[in-house]
Amino acid sequence: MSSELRLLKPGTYFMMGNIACAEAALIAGCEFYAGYPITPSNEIAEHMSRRMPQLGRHFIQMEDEIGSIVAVLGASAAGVKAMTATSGPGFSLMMETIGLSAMLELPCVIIDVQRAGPSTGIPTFVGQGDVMQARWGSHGDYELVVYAPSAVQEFFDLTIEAFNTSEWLRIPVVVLSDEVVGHMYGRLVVPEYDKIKIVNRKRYNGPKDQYLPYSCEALVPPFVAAGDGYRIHMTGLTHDERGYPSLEIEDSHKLIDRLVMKVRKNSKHLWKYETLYADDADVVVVTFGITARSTEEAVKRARAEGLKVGMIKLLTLWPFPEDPVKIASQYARRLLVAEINMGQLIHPVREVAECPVAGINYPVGYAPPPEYILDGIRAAV
Amino acid sequence: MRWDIRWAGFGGQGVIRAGEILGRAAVKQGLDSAMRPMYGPEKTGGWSRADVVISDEQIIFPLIVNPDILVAMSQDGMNRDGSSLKKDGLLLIDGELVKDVKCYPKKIYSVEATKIADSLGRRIVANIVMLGAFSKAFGIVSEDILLQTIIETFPKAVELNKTAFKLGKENVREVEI
Amino acid sequence: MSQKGLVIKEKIVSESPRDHLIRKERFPHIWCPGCGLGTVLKCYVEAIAASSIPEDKHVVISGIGCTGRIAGYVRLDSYHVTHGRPIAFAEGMKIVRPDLEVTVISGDGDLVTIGGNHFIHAIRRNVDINVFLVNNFIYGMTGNQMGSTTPLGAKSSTSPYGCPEPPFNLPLLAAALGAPFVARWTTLHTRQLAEAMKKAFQVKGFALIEIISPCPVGFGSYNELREGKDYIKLFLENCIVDHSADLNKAAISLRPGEPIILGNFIQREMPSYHDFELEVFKKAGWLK
Repeated sequence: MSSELRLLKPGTYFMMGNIACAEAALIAGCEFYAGYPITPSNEIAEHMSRRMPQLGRHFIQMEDEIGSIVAVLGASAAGVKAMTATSGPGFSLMMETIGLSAMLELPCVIIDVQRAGPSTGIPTFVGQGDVMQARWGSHGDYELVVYAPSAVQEFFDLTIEAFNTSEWLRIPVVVLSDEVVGHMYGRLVVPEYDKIKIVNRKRYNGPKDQYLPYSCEALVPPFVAAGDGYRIHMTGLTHDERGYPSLEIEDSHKLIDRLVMKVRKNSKHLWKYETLYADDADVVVVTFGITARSTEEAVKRARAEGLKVGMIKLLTLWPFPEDPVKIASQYARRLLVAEINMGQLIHPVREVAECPVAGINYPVGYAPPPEYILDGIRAAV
Repeated sequence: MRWDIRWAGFGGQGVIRAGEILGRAAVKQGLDSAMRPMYGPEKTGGWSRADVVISDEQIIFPLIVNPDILVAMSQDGMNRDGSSLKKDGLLLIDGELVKDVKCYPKKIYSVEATKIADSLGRRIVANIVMLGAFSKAFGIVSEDILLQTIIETFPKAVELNKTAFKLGKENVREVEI
Repeated sequence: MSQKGLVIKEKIVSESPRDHLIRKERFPHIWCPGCGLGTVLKCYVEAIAASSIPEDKHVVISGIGCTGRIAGYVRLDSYHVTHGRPIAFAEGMKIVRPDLEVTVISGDGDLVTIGGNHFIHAIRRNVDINVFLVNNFIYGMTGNQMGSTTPLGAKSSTSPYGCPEPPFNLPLLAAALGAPFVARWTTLHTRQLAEAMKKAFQVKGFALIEIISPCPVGFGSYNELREGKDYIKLFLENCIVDHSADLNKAAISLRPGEPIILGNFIQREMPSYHDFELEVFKKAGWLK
């Protein structure tokens, strides 16, 4: 029991993706978890319900996914790192509050373990249909960061990264996992803690009368928590630098510009991707999540057949990593986009590509076998 | 070398737990492993499957299309997954529960895992008997590390599981096709 | 309410002793003539000033609507969140910072119509927050639509033939859910209201005050209560203070001869969510 009263020790494990995600959140410093039961993300909540109290941290099962993410923001406003986890239907319910998180600039982490949709879909089967929703789901102009793991290790690493990024930029960050990566057991190496980068939001501790909670001096204003004595006001209404509602178009422009630019101007730091044989490839497959694992196998087999094929695995989906895709498209004759949906990631790829782009779409339910991707590659070469 | 191993049975037989233990033992041994649990919507008694990949290289595609080895712990599991077995694949069955082999393996191994577990008074250790049989029949993961992993997984039932594992090893037989 | 003893001192002052609790730079406020929300605001700052809790520990959270704007006028840590969600926000905040005195001030539409699910579950959990629910029987800000508190038969912009649904009886609902403190006052009963707020700060667990508030420009214009004084008359003639009232009879109909029952109906000690969580911490091994 006592060994459980601390963080997961550095070492090598064989662990379920969802549990690796929960343990990563603990290491990242998550102090508050609120969630609502939904397959296939449940193991995260179950694990957190056991682990959080062992560390004196807070777990609450809310009445729905709206309450969950709103409670997460309440905790974040009190200055702690907070998260929720869900799947498609719950993710849909959270959309309005993702906008609130962006507008109030309250950091939070949302794990979406994607399942087959639309609607209730097939809760226990995999899908990758939330790519566009993750980016565009809430109304109005805002930006956020979306990461997509393809392995247990990546789920662990990107969960910590999600906390770091949300704290750094004061934005909502989504980890767009999927049912296979969530439920799969895999090898996990937890590094020594001093090798793990942990970011905490920048706090303001200057004079009270000079504090502007939404100062435009920097892209990310320093934070004060409830109870710090600054008498802060936060509102979802368009606000000025004091945080007060404003109908002035100039205030609106300044605010929206900053909310968008703090992500856009840092895009290059936020892009995470891996390329394989992309340098001399005629055909490059752009993909992410569990589909990247099928694709890598397919690309290796294609190379063995003498086909000049490469791939780009995106670990950051949003902001969309334009440069590597654009560069690949300047050398390749064709880009393919492999995903378990009827064509979502293909849109930003098309937007930047300088060569023809086609989709390898696998309808929801299963991860595409490598042979399926290979057929798509062969047809394109 | 990569091994694709599919365990098939029904919920409650410990199929997924067996897959987890096998994968964890492989990782302990320095190999790479991935395990994909799947099950039907029933809370108990529905179908259950654990797909375990073990490789001495980093695993790229972690899922299984056609396994090299099928472990069938129930007739239903055999009916559901038998046809997926690779040509010239290997089969391990619970000889009491699987009567009708619906595939064409190179070799068939059999152990009456559930009956042996019953003889120990705990049917839930049938999966451990099966792991013992698996270890004897196919190797892949070191027997010592596998047993050690079982012990660590069930620290409160060390002797029972040791016995179950040993009986699995001792009673597995290659049978006629 | 007797007029006896009322002394008007003929002195105009430019500042009030509570000004430091108001964001005066945000005035003029957006509320209509005759609205009760200024009175609610006044009672709240009076209660804060009179409470023994440091001002920096008070947090106010509002949702959307006319009442939702209160958060923006109080010089405290204040959060103005999405429609229906201030209670859930308050729960997250209070759970991680039990030392804060977290108060939700929002309207009926916000808290018990769109936000009704959070309302009932926060009471069930007995999270230690105060909810000052201002009930004006209508969605004022969006243009006077009916809601879940609009009395049966009352007119609104979406009930031109009279509201076809019966309203919530909120004190009964909250009491049934186990709230340790349930009160109802009107904006005419300022002293009792401020006192109830002070009590609410001291309550361990969920404290609900339903505040009946005039909306002459909105609800009133549809229902023969066109001026603030019409409401005052309504409150004076129809309100009955009965702390031990049978809450089954506490629904508000606004029909002639049917009273508006007021009082501090429920005051009881019970374990709060915080107590339950401490038990979890013990079982998990974190606390001895």
